[in-house]
Amino acid sequence: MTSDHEERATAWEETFRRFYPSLYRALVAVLLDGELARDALQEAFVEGLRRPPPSDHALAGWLFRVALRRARHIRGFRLPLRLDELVGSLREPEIPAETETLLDRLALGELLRLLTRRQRAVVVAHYYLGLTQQEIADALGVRRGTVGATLSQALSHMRRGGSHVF
Amino acid sequence: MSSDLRDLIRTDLDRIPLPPDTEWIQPRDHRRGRALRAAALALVVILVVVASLGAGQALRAVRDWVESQRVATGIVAGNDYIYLADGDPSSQYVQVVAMPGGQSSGRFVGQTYVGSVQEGGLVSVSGDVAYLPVASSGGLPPDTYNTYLERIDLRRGVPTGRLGLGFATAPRLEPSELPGTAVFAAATATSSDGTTLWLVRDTGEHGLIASVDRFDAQVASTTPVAHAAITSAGPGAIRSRIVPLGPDRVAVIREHYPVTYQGARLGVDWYILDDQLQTIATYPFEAHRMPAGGFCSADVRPDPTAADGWILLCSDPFLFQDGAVVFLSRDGLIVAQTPLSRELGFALGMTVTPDRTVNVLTSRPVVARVDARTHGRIDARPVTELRSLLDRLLPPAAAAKGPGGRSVVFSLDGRYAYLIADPLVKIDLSTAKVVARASGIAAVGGLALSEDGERLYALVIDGQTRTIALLDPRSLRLAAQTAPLANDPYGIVVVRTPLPLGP
Repeated sequence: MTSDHEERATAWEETFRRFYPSLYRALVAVLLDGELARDALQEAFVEGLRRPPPSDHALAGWLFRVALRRARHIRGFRLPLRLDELVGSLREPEIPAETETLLDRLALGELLRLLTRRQRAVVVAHYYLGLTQQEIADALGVRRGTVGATLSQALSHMRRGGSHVF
Repeated sequence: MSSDLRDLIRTDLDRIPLPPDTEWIQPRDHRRGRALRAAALALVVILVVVASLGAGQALRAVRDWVESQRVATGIVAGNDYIYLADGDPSSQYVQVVAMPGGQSSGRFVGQTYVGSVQEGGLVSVSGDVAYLPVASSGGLPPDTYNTYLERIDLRRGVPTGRLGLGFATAPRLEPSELPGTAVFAAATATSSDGTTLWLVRDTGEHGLIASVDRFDAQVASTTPVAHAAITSAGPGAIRSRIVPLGPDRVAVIREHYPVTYQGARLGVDWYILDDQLQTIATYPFEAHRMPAGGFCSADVRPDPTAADGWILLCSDPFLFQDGAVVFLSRDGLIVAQTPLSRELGFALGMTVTPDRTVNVLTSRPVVARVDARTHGRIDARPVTELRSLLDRLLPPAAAAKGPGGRSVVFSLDGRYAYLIADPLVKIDLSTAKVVARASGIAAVGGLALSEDGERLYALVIDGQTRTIALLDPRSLRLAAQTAPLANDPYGIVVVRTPLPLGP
């Protein structure tokens, strides 16, 4: 029994390490906080150890969802994601200095700052992690149509290049 | 666009450096620090909230403790003589209670007009000496009285002599006439410097003729310096009071009552007399020259804006007509009057502040402010509570009329009013807010401040028991309460500080 457990843990660690680079970068882009991204991913790893994902299908989406949820929890005293998004950029936390520096070095950094956290999550999940709109909807707990609309809004804002911030 | 964006995102995000792979799955120590910081922050928030909630209670407890220490060390409790009116209307007395002990130290027979149960109807006393009109019938033929003024040293609480007025035959009246007032009707007043004594007696049928005398109080002669008779017309029976307006002016206030019912006055005549008791101004109530039917308070105040001028507060207790603040000249002429709508309620009293504002407190209660310089009304504000959320569960302040004496007294600086209102509240007249409320005492029947304004005395009526409560004027906290008083006093006449004991 102990041997099975160790084997599952080892397998889970290998899987986690395989997804870690892309998930870490995606979370940095969404959360705009490197430290928080590390914390959230580490907790997602622990969560996977305790309660492994139901299937190997869409593991990236599962880790992304769990990490975002843990990030909210770690920050503490935060509004739920959807309500938080509802009030828009007013609720955006301050970006840590080291992440600001990082974003300044990226061409994408300025565009990410224009989006809300939900818009960043949808854009990054779709264009970077390669998740489908349905997988994103499952990960964020919203309707697929909402994902499509959010994606459309985000693209529109990025296209305008910062001429409008809501 | 999408393809370009996808490439941009992938290219850019792939440039984000990764943490060392050895740390990917390692528990992160600083997370605990964050949790601790969050816990510390939560603790601080809780402490701030709890401290805020408890601060008021803590401050109150500290203040209570300080006040109790002040009481215990005798700072609040002081030596005062409280002069109380007691007896039935036809045979009235003044008893003296020495505070803070609360023991009765004397009782003087009045058998005459010490006061009525009307608002402000107690005998007018100023200065250190009072003269009680007395009509004694002991050992004399029926309806014959030996009349005299008993001189009382208010600072010693003892009688110091009599001023004989001679024998008088009381008018034969119907037994039902004015059941609430004395048969031998007389009232006195003294000047604030104690040199002049005025006496008014109601004589003739239904007391229509007022006999007014002025005495030199320092000579103690039974021969008056000046004498006058005022004959009034009008309905009902009349009882008079007299109010000094400085050293050489006096107002004779003549109240008309229905003959068989004392409770509802018909109207009030005002006569202003000079030092020789010549009438220099007359305001009979039927002429309607004085507002509110002449129902004006005997608590006349000097006008700070006019030399030797006076301010009257007139208000109809039945609210059939509007009241007014009346400005009188030295010669008793009405210079101006500021109307007070009867919707504001019955005017209980007024005070004049150093900035020459007349504050009128009404029974609603409302604070109406009048500019003494322009005679214009500044505003009228309902008195509201300045209390915590929990205190709002208590009933709001509502003026209650005491059974005797004044239902409101004012602080010496004129800023605060102490109002009988279930049982007693302190009102800041500058803001029209209730700033303190007494608790722990039953209904209040009369109020008076010590001469220095440091002690507030309330005549407390709890069923058949009457006591005097000593309260701190700042907080209305109860500092002491006497044992039950004898003879059922119904009003406080005056408070005087005793002279220190000599060597």
